Amino acid sequence: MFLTVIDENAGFEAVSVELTLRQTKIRHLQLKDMVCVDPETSLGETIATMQRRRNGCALVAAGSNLVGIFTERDLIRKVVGRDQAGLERPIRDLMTPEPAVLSPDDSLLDAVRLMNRGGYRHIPLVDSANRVCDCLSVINIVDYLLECYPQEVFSLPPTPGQNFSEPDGA
Amino acid sequence: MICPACGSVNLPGADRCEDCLLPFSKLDIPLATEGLQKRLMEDTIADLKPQPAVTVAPEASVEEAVQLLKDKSVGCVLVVEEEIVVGILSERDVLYKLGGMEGSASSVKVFEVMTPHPVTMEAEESIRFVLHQMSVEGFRHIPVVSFDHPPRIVSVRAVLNYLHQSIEDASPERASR
Repeated sequence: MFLTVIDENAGFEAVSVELTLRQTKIRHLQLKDMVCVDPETSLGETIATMQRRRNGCALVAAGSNLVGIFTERDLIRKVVGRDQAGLERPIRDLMTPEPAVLSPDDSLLDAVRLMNRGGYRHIPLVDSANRVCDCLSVINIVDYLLECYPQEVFSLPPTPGQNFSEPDGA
Repeated sequence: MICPACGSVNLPGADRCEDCLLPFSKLDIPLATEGLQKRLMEDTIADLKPQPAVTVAPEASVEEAVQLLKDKSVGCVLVVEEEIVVGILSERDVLYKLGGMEGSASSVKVFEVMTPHPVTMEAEESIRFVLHQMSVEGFRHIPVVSFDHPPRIVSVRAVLNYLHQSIEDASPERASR
């Protein structure tokens, strides 16, 4: 009886990934601390904060309400190489206003679809009152999916073609 | 090793259960039968459809490189010298290392800001190496090189697209069951 159960596991697996994505809510993920700044913060200060916190994305919030997002891409597009782009300008003028958002109660599948459709790498998470909760990054999703396959992905040697002459620890 | 069939305890490394003779060897091998797991085991980096890389010389100014990032709408440029990849310059490098320095983009050279000696892959390798590097090292772009091809790039967006595709492929007939 048990033998058949083991064999069926293989088929069960393919469903489970999609099911997990559907059922897992974004709030179940462990997310990095977000960087959140006021709309009146200067560009220089925002960049310094992003550098200090090693984060490529800053949420812009007035009080606790999300008004925009400032990412590496905004920096490349609107700041670097422009002479008149002073570091004193408020971040409000340079951010991307009204970004696409999700709620922490949305599923991971929603996030995957939204990111894929819009080409976003970061999605701010807000609650029903538009209060900022967190920021979901594309790498969080990839990480989560790969954690379903530790044996296949994480037990690899660091580079392809790296062979060990004898078993480790033997 | 506890036998999954009869529950009796065996010595670690045993080939079969001493009580019910269930062979254990099969249990350790990842079962790549269908779905995402099968694709992870069998697909190569070429299945991620690496895009031709935008390249720049190490002596070019960061301003030129940033202009390339903007014009081509890409997240990184490869720094190539005599057809060899010597570095990679991504949006993140510009943010972290150039950041708030005003008007400096034209005077700073690419090789001062780039990440030197990036990890490169070949298109015939398993897709799992790319996923591994991205997840463990946090890279968002990995150069794909070969002898007879100009360098190409795999980005995290391609990975997301790939994962999304395999999930959508798997779902319709699953849902109808």
